[in-house]
Amino acid sequence: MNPSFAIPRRRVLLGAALAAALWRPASALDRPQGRVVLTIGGLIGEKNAAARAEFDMAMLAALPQHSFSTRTPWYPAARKFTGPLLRDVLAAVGAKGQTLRAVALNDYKVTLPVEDCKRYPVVLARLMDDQPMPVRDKGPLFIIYPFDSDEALRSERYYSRSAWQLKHIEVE
Amino acid sequence: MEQPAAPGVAAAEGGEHPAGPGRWLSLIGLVLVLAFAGVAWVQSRALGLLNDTVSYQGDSLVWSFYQLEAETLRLRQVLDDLADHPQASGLEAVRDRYELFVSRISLIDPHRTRAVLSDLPRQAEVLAALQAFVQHADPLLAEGEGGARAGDARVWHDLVHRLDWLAAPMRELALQVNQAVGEQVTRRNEAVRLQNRLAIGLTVFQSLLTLAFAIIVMRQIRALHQRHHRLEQLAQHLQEARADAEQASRAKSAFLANMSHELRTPFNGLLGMLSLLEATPLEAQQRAHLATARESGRHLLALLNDVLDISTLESGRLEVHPHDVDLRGLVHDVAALMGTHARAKGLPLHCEVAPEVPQTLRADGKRLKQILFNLLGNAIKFTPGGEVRLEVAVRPAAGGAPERLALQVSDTGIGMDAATLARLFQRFSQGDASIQRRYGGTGLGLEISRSLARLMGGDIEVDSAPGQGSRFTVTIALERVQAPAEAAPPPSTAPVPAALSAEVLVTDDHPVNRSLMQAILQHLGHRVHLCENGAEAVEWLRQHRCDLVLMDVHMPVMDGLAATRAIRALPPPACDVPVIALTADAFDAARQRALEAGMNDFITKPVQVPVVVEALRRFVPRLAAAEDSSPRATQPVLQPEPGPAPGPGPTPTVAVSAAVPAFMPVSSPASSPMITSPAPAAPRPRLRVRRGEIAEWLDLEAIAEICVTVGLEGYRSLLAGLLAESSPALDELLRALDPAADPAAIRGAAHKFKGAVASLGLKRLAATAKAWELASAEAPLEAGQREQAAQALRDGFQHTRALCLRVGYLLA
Repeated sequence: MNPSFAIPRRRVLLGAALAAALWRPASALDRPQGRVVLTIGGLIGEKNAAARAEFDMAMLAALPQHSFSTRTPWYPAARKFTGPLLRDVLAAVGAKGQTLRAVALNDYKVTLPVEDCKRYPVVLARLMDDQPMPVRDKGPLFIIYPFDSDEALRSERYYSRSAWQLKHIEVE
Repeated sequence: MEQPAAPGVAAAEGGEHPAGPGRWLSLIGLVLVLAFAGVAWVQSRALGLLNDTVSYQGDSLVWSFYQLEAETLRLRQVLDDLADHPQASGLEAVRDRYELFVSRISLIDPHRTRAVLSDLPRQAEVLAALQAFVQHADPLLAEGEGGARAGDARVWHDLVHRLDWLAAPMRELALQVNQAVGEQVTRRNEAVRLQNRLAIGLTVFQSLLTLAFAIIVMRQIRALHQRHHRLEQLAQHLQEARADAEQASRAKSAFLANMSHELRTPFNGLLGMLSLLEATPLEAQQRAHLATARESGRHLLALLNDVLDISTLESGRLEVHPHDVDLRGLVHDVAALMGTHARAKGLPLHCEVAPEVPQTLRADGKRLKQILFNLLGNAIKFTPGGEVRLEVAVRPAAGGAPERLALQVSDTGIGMDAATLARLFQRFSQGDASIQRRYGGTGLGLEISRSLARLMGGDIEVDSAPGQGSRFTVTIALERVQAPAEAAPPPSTAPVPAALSAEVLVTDDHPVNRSLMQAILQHLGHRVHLCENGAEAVEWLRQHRCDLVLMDVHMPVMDGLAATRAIRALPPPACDVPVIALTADAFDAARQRALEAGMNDFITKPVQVPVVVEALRRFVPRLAAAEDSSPRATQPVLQPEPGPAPGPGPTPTVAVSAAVPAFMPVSSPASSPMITSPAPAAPRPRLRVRRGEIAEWLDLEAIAEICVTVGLEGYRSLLAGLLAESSPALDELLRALDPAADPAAIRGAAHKFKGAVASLGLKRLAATAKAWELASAEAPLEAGQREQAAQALRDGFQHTRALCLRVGYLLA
């Protein structure tokens, strides 16, 4: 358990207590209030739906946010990406597996090792240039590696792991 | 040689390719560098190609086009479903699919494809059609008021229709992209293949160059090896040649030594004959010629002696034999003798010995004397007027140099300029040509002297200026010896009583040596028989008995070794006689040969009286016994008493004894060096001596040689025995000349007398005796002639005696 995670989770718990504690038992993971944008299944400890964890944008925005600009193969210029670190998201659901299977809206599937999230600040981007990403522009969620920080990342291996239009992560 | 940087390379190749391998090496090196550069360029190109590939594979283009086509089909499917079954969920599905469809359009945007593919003919057209579709569909699918409703089947059918219309161009575009990418991949593969081939070619080239380089280097190394081998062979040949040359040089030196040794004997004869001639009545012209001839002969003899020493020097046999030497006595002897020469020229000789000079030291006294004789002789020779000085001092140890004895000979003579000094020690060089003409000499003496000084651990230094005289300083290593508290008394050289007198057989082919040995032995009171070669000696021993044989080793007819073997083969008791070798050959090998031949001992020439005495004591037992029972109390006056021994402290440095001729200047450090004028210390006959008369009557060089051998005291003893007021030798001759005597005896007596006086350097007297000897050999002398001869001999005897008294060889 990453120690830096302690404070944000406490904040999440406090918010949950203020908003919904009166009529629902306290849970480690809130139920999504808005439209579900990400589901996480597989080997996870925290669930808020049947056998899986569901997130809406607000829940993701409530996690600690991380930003960086990087060039990518998909845009002619460098873009700024903002969102929670993937490892924070995995921590929020108590993921225990070694690999992640990311599934996009068009059923694109790619496997990436959990190790990547520990070694690099991999971001689950929800904002591009501080704007929410629509589906037609690779939204709503985009796994982004910090390509500009390490030459090793500028290869087909990591470009292919950068799943966009992400909708589901299966922890295996 | 064109390439000084690589001379070995050029030399190894010889003259045909003076610059071959060196230039090839440079060329190959240059090409290698170029090849490396080419390989590096190809590799960097390959890396660039790989990076290009990576970036455009970032998202596979073909895959993008395929996805777009797939999304189009899926959208058409949901639109078709919605048109057939209008319901809200169907509209929602259409909206989601539509968004995905639109997101795929951006993937085929030319900005992504252009980097890799040239513009595709249908791309812009298809893209425009897609964008037109999106523009048309966006408002219809917008949520809220503007959008179409699920039930608007006509709208959905229209959209399906439009999508169908788009399908054909999109498929064509996908095919085009597929083909273009394939083309691109092929081109890239070809480029990679080409570069691989280039790299392989370059690598092969590089390998070949490296191989060539290695071969050349190998050749160089082999050439170097061969050269090294040749040099080693050359060095070996040179060494052999050097050994041969040294062998030849030694042989030459040995030959020279033998020759000069052999030549001395006839020269002595020649000089003797000339002296004899001089004694006959001659015209003035003849006398002058004779004098010139004799002078030439003497010069030749001196030259011969020097050549002998030089040969010995060159053959590496010049040796010094250090023993305990009475240094003060030695200096004293030399000064006394050379003082005579100086005096003959009217020069005073000063001698100073510093108080710190030890009485006794370890050195080769004979060689030291030789050096001093040479230097003093030179000084006297080259000094027309003024004085000659001999100073002996100790140079204390300083700056790592050991303590040395310094003997300085200075004169007030003609001196030398720098050029002369520079070649002073060069063989046969003596000043300049004019000096040589004027003064004669070989110039060998200095070289020998210096070699001797160096052998004695020192050197000779010279300091001179023209007209200012010269100063030669001999230094030798000073080896102090503990003066024995009770010095063993030297063997008595006094004559033994007649009862003890021994019969000694002397065998020597050299008349002077025979005479000298005879003089020494007779003086010691012994009877002597002389033989000229080994055969004679063996023959004599068959008939006679004797107590001791002194045998020269090198002789004509039969040499000493063969003679000894013959003697040992005689029947007893003749075979038991002790035989002692007399030889100038002082090497161990010669000694060994002598002992092997059956000799009992070995006396080296020049013989020294004490050595002879000692030998007699050892081999004639009754002499030793007599000596022990009757010690020195009975010594006759002929043994000169030594002067007061200089004790420690500031005693005068040179012992002034009655034995020192009074004209020899003696200085002491206490008083300033003074020159004593020739004032007789004892009454002497008043004799007017003509200038040059002493040299005319006395052979000063021969006397010097004898003194070197037996010491001044020894010489005095010998002379005193011969020139006694009533001389037995002269009396014998005079008896033979008596008119009543047998004329046949005259020749023998004259010969004997002549030998005795000649061997002691009394040359005028010897010449007179020889003249009468010859005259009597031609025809028996008349009575008048006998009287004339007796008178001439008496006069010569008296005059010689007077001269010897005058110069101090005889003591009144």
